[in-house]
Amino acid sequence: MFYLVKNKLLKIGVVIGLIFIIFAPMVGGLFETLQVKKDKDRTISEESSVSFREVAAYEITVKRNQKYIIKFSVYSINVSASLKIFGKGFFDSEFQKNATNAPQTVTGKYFLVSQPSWAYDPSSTEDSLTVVTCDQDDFYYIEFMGDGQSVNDLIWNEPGDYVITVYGTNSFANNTNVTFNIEIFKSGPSEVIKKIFSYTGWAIIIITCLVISIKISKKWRDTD
Amino acid sequence: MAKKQEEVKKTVKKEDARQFWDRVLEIDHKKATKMIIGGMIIAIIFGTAALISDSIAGNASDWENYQLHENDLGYWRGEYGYQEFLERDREIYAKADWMRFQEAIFENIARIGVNAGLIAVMIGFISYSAEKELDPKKRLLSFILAALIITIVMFTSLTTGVTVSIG
Repeated sequence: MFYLVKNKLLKIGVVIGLIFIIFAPMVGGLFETLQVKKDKDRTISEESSVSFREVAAYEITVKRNQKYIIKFSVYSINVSASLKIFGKGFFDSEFQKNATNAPQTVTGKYFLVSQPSWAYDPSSTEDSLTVVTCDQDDFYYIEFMGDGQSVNDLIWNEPGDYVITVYGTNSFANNTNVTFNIEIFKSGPSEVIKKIFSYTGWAIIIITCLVISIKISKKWRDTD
Repeated sequence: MAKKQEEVKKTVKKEDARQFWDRVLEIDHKKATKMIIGGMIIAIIFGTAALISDSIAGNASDWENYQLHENDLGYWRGEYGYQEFLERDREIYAKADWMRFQEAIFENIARIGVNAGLIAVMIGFISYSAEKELDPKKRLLSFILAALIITIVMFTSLTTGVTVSIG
C-alpha cells in the first residue's frame, strides 16, 4: 500500500490521465463551431432585389451531419434585407437566367429559425422558413443542414454545395444601399477532439495501472 | 514412439496438476496471509466498482431530468438554436440509457473480480488449515472460513442477484 502511495509513476500517470479527461470537454467545446465568414456592415445595391447578379452570395459546403449557423442582422435605418439559401446548381442557373425579380420570387431551401423565449417551451419558439427579412435592429439565429420542411418545423442533413444569398431594399429615396451584418459558422470537430482527449486520458491511466501492477507482482515474487 | 510421447505428455500433465494442488496446500504462512490480504483488497476494489456502477444506474433518471432541464435553459439563454437543442436532447436520452445499461457490463466484470479475490482469500485460509504447526482450533476455523467463502462465491456465481422493490 505504501508502495502505491510513494510511487511517482502512479502519481504522474493518474494526474496526466485525469488532466486529459477533465480537459476533454473544455478543449472540444472550443471547436464546437468554426467561423466561416464574418461580414460586418456589408453593403449591396438595392438592385439585388431584382437581379441575381447583384445579390450577396456566400458559398458553403454541407458535409454529412454538419450544421451551419447563420447570425443575420440589420442595424441601418430604412433597410430591409432578406436571406435565402439555394442549392448551388439552382443558384447557378438563376444567375445565368438573371430573370427580373427572381431573388424575391424563387423559393429557397428550408432552414430553422430560433427565437427563444423564457415564457414558452422550446418547441413553440422555432420556425422552419425559406426566407427571413430583417428590418432595422432585427436579428435572426438560423440553423441550416441542407433541406427541410415547414411541416413540424423540421430540417435535416442533405450534404452538398449551397449558396446563402442576401438581397434587400432601402426605403429612403436618395439611398440605394442595403447594409447588413452576417456571421456564418459551421459545426467543428469538437466530438472527435473530445473523444481523442478522453480516450488518451483513460489509456494513460490504464497503462500506468498495468505497469504498476506488473511491478508490484514482481516485487512480491522477489520477496518470497 | 508417438504413443510413448503421448503417454509421457499425459503423465507430465498429471504431475503438473498434482504439483499445483500440492503447492496450494504447501503455501507458507506468510504467503497465505499475503493471499488473504491481496484477495480482500481485490474483492473490496471490485465490490466498490460494482456499488458505483449500481449507483450510477440508479441515478440515471434523475441525471436525465436534470440534463433535459439544463438543455432547456441553454436554449432559453440563446446559447444554441432549436436544432442543437434537439441534438443535445437525443444525446441525453442515449447517455441516460448507457448509464442504465452499463450496470449489466461493469457489475458482471466486478462480480468476476470479487469472486477472484474471494478465491484468493479462500486459498489463503485453506493453506492455514493445512498448516500442521498451527493450533488445531485455528486450523478448523480457517477451514470453516474457506468453506464459507466458497459458498458465497458459489451463491454469487449461480444466482442472478436479489432485487427488492418497495411499492
